[in-house]
Amino acid sequence: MAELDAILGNDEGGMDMDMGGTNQGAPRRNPAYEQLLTAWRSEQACPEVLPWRGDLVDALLDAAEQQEAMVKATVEQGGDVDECLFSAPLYESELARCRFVVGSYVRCRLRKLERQCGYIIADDDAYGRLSDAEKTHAVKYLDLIEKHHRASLLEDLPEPFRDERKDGDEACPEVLAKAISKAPALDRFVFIKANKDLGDVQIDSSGETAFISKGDTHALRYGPVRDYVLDGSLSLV
Amino acid sequence: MSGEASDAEIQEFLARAGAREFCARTATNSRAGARPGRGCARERRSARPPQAEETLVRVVPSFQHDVLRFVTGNYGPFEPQEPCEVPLWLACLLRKRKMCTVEAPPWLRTEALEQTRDAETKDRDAFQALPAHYVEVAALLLECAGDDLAAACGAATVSKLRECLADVEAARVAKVREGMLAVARQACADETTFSVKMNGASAMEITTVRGQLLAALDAFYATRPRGGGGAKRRAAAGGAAPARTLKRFK
Repeated sequence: MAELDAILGNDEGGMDMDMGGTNQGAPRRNPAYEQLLTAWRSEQACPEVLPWRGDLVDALLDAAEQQEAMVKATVEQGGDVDECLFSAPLYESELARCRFVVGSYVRCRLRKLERQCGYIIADDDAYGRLSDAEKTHAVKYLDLIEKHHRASLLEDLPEPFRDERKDGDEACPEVLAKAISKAPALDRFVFIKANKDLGDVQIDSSGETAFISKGDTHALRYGPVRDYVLDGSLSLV
Repeated sequence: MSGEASDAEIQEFLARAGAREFCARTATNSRAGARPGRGCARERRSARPPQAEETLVRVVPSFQHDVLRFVTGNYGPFEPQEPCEVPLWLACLLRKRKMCTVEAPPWLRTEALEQTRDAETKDRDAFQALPAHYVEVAALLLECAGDDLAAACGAATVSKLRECLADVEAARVAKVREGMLAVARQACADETTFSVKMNGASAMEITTVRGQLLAALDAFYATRPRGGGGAKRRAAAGGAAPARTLKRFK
């Protein structure tokens, strides 16, 4: 247990677990989890795929695995029955919450990925924001739906309209890829929350600006403030 | 169209612009009366967003235990009759097993809520300071620990608490709706709204209007008058601008 505490304590870099010191009732939160909650919320509200927070996901999943192992070991040992009956359900329900958030984050990204696969693969920036597993999945998924479109329609079209793959071409032609996926709607209005003071920010190509201070909530178009969202100065709500 | 337009004309304009009509809401439970907007349905299904359940509340445990080490944080140690802070989800679990009593957070006391309610109705432009998930937190606390809250301030106060809460909610949502009508009026006057500032709006207000407001803003932006000849007045919106006003830009 002592090693586990140390592991959990040292798990997420930022969380200094006050090694061995007494701490009367002051709760210590896991910053990785709180950051993931924000990232998850932003991902749900964002029209495109945001950078993959692998650091947070990996940290939480590792901690969750260790926690599960510990709970299992405690229950199997069967030492203090009261203790088991008290704490095991609490640990398990917390693990379920944690896994739900991670799972929902991954599912949300997957949904966007599958809808926009053609555009994501064609755009190096967007492609770079995916995790390795997502990259593999995007390519395979695009391949799959391209085959589906070819088999169900394109092969029956006259020669010039088939947009066949050129010899030696490994990937789906870009025009076709974009035709069979949905473009991210970057011009939509979204709710943003400011994580730092940004001063005057241009919110439209016509030169309109908005003054954004830390803690503000605004509804504005995603396109002009995209860079701020990608670097973390703004989060979406 | 220019000048003052009646609400009926605004509704018609919105219907033509493709945005949904503003839903009329009664003064009681805004959640019950609201129609889900685009993208709202998923959030509405969960009245327990994880962010709300992570809010720290003070509890007085009736048991003794060492620090509980969770993946999401460490809480404790727990001593009988010694107050300590735990996240809301843990407080609810412990309370259900009758292993602690929950203290109401300072903003959820009757006096504080009454003050907030009066301030909300008086100040038509700004939202008062309330936690970002106050509706969900209050609902959970009243559901799990209503007895504790009642015992602390007298049995009659829980229903009064619910009333005050409902009034506060209604006042805030009314402000958001007025803001939306202001956006619509601007659009009728050929002005484009590029952003809406909603400082202090809680998650519930945002979720309530998300579908309608964003769809309306999208529609108005798409049909905005372009070119230098457009009647875009650079009128300042609302007089002095305190940091938290619900106002539109340009």
